[in-house]
Amino acid sequence: MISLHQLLLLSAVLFVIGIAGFITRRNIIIMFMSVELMLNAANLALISFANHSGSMDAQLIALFVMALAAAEVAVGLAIIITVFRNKQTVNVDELNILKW
Amino acid sequence: MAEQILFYLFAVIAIISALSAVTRKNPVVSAVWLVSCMCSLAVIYVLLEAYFLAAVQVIVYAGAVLMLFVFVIMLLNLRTGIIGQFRNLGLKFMGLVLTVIILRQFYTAFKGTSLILGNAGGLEPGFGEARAVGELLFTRYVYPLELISILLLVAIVGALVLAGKESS
Amino acid sequence: MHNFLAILLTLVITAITVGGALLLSALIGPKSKMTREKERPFECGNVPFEEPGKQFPIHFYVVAILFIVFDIEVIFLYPWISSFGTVGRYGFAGAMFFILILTFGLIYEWLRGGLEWH
Repeated sequence: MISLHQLLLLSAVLFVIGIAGFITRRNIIIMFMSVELMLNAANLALISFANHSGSMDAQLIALFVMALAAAEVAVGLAIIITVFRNKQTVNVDELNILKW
Repeated sequence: MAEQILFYLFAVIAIISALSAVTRKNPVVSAVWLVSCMCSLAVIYVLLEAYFLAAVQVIVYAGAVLMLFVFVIMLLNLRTGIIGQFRNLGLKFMGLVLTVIILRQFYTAFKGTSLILGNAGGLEPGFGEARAVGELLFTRYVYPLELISILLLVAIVGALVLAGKESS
Repeated sequence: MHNFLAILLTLVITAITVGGALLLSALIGPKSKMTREKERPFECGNVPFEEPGKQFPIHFYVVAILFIVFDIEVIFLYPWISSFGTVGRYGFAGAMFFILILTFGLIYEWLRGGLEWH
């Protein structure tokens, strides 16, 4: 049997890789992929809890998180397309028009 | 025992794929590594007896979300010329330090608590299958389900308003 | 879980086949140096007219959005079908309301002209 500690550690490692990617990369698409990775890590934690508590509720929450991720991707990528159309760049350091 | 071996194998694959995904220069390569990461996570979901969610993971994440990412990368025609070199060593160093700190916090948090939630292995039959998911989804979670449908409606409208207008 | 052994076996066989083919062709295939001529793009004997990977029209994105949203809808409807006998009228009403709201999205896209292919 896989212990809960190992699962949570894997989840934490994936989450932290997502954070690292989000902070260090400046390509907006890869930053967005890192967000997806973090959502996946959270899902993994939820599903481990579902298995170890013997109730299905956490799996349902993970299912809702997946639906939410799909909706988020649809809108987020539309925003990226619009930004690229106006500014011709995907580097977030160049998207500083609101910076004072 | 076999479960342990499979878990370690696919956990290592997932971590390596995730690391590669956030470090590649080309976004398309990054997306393909992310597909590998999500498929290995689906294997771990199967090991955790979340069969329906494993299928959803492959269909939605690997099939739809990453497809949309690759699609947009091709739509924007992102080549290395446009992407360029984003060199910022100070930022990278700061990110690395922050990462190590957060990971250490997680580790301390897990180590300090005794997470014994009981029945590991003694799950009722049908756990995690589509039938059990449906029985919960359409009774106790029917209100969140309708909220999800409204969220998807908003996503359709928002994406159409943002990207739907014809470009020159 | 044992039903998934077949999928695991498929994965292993695929990995062995693809990896073996690549390894064998790298080991016993004839080695040839890449020359400048071989690296050049080739298009039926002509010089290529334009760069590959040019931008797609934005129109494809609208279709992709529809795909992803209705993909999610199917994901939520499949558990309903599996548990149709037990959730009863309450579940039926919930599912119908779910479909109704997503139909509004389809109608909106239709009226906006997102489904027209110019």
